[in-house]
Amino acid sequence: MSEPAKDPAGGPLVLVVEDDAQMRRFLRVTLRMHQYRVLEATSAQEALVCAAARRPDLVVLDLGLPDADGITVVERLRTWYSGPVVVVSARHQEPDKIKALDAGADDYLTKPFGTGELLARLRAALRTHNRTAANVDQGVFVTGTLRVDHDRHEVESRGQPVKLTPLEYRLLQALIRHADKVVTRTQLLREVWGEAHVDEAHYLRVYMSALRHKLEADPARPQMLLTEPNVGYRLRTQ
Amino acid sequence: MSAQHAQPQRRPAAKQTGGSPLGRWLERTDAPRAPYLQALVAVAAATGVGFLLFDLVDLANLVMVFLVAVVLVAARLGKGPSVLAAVAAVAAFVYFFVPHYNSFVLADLAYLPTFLTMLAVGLVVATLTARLRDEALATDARERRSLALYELSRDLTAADDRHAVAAVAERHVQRVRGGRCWLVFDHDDTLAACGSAAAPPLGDDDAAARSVRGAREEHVPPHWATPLVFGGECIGALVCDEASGQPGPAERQLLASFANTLAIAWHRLIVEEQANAARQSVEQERLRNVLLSSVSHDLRTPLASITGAVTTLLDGSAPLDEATRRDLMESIRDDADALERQVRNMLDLTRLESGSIAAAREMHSLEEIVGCALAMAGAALADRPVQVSLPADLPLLHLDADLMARLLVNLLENACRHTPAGSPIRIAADLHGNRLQVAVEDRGPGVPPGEREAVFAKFHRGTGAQHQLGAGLGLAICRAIASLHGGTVRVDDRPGGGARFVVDLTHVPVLAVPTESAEAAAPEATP
Repeated sequence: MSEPAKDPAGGPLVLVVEDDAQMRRFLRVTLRMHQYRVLEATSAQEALVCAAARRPDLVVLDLGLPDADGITVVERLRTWYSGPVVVVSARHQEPDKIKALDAGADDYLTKPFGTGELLARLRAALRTHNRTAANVDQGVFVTGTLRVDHDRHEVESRGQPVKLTPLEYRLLQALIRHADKVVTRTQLLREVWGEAHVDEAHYLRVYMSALRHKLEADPARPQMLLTEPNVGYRLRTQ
Repeated sequence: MSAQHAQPQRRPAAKQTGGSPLGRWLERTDAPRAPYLQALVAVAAATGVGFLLFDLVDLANLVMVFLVAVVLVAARLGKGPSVLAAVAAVAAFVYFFVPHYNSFVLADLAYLPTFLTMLAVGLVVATLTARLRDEALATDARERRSLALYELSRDLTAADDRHAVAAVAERHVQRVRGGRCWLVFDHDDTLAACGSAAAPPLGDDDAAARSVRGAREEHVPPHWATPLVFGGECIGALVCDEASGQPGPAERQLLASFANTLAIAWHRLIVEEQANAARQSVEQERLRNVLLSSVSHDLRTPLASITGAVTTLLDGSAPLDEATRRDLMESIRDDADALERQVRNMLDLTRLESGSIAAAREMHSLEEIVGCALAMAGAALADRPVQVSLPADLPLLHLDADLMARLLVNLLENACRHTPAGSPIRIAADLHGNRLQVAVEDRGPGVPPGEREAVFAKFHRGTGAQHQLGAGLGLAICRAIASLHGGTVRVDDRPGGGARFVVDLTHVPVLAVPTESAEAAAPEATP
């Protein structure tokens, strides 16, 4: 645990949980350059203690820790911590990554990742976390060529009104609720179809395809409704 | 198992099924009572003829009628019945045709030499004729056995694996005796059976295990096991069931001969398998060497260039202008990407080939898979127009989305590597029934016909790719992934010029989800 004096004042406080020294150094340097204040922990135990003591605004958690698996850390954090948690995984940790997301992590990064990707994920995690659940399903949501009027249940794409079926609309709503964040298949199925249907991923694939055909210029190269391989989907804004 | 006990079991079975042709033929002499009865019938017939001729010929010539009967019986029925016929003939002759008639009492002792001569001639003729007959029979049986063995060994020369050998054995045993049979062999210290029917019991006390253990014939109803012995070592057993009866001595002898022939064929297979294993390990050794040299080239080259670029950047002695710095840093990024790709490919291929990846197939949308592949290959495709043409109403397909996306990424990267920058690429798919074909087509120089198989081999680098990093594994991975889906990937000419890589999956289950009914089935949705 360290917080050198060089930290810029006033930026969001990030807890970086990572046991590899080089990776920690890369994260520290990059985050400080972009006005984050950085706390470091090298084990699950240290991470939980540090998070409890310093109440960071954001946690970046590597799944390959020496003393516990990432899912346990997320579960224990989530018993009291409500801030965003972004997990970092290597390629062979795919199943852990999905479990961590379902356990309450907000997003993930797969090694190796670039600075741009890292910063985008952290920004999105902080932004969506600050939005309160109450105002998400109200007002007008606009991104790119898509315009959704929540109050009037109207959807426009490229200036043209689009007719969505009730389920398509609910799926789009769920994605907007978590805009820019990955949403796991389980999460989407639970929010749109209900608890009884969480194993029926084929519904999701069919409706996702239908949404793309209605909202994307080229459904095979989606610009908004992105697939996160193995994990779920992400609505990309801006 | 005693013969008395076995006999009654065999005969009804033979009556019901008709038995096997050779078995019935070989064992006709074993049937105990019928020939004796036939011998007596023959003598009775001779007696009848005797009555007809009684008034026409003299007594000495009448003897000939009986001798003819004895000879016929001997030729037809063998020694025992013919001796009986000889004795019965003399008795009938004395009783019916020599005064006093209808009595064994002789009116004149002068007839005595006639009877004795008749008896002696009858016995000698009976013995000689029967021996001739037996010899003819034995020769015939030997010929049939040699023919059966010859045909077995002829068919075995064409059998090149264990199942083929078992099939040949089955066909031949079926032909000579009917019923089912299996080849049982020792497989890693447990017995395994090879044959088309469900395996016979292979427990320690069953015929097969006892036969292999003791290298001798074993009979545990309803199976009969004959050991396969080669070079003094028991390498398995030929197990027959008793659907067509328990084998008699002649059949057992034939089965033993079959077993010998089969043992030779089986041993030949074992030797061939060992030779193949040795060849494979040599091939693996060669691949390991290629892998090592490839690792040292593909990993150390980018590492060297990264180290070089970084030391230049860190070296404060010579000032660098901004363009140079940027150039160096971009080269570091590109080399790091190449390293990552190479390591990923090696790990993927190792895991695919070791079988530690099983295809996790689910119902997926091909469009989504193509979308992922295009996103993953993004950097490589940057300056190329990519046309995607998928059928509009494609149902969900049972695929491993991850692996299929990786396959497409490798094909896309391959296309980029071998075609001029900026040239277009097309992804197309077709579904006919359950056959899915996905093609990645480019407008590059194409693949020469002689190289179309070789490009999918590990560490193959196409002409022009020798000095590029990360080449040599991508297409091998494609092939491994296709085969994990029960399909193939091949390359041919694209009409109009260029290469066309086709992933051909012959059996892909599909699922058309009718969205309206899915909505009806799902919980009520109110926007």
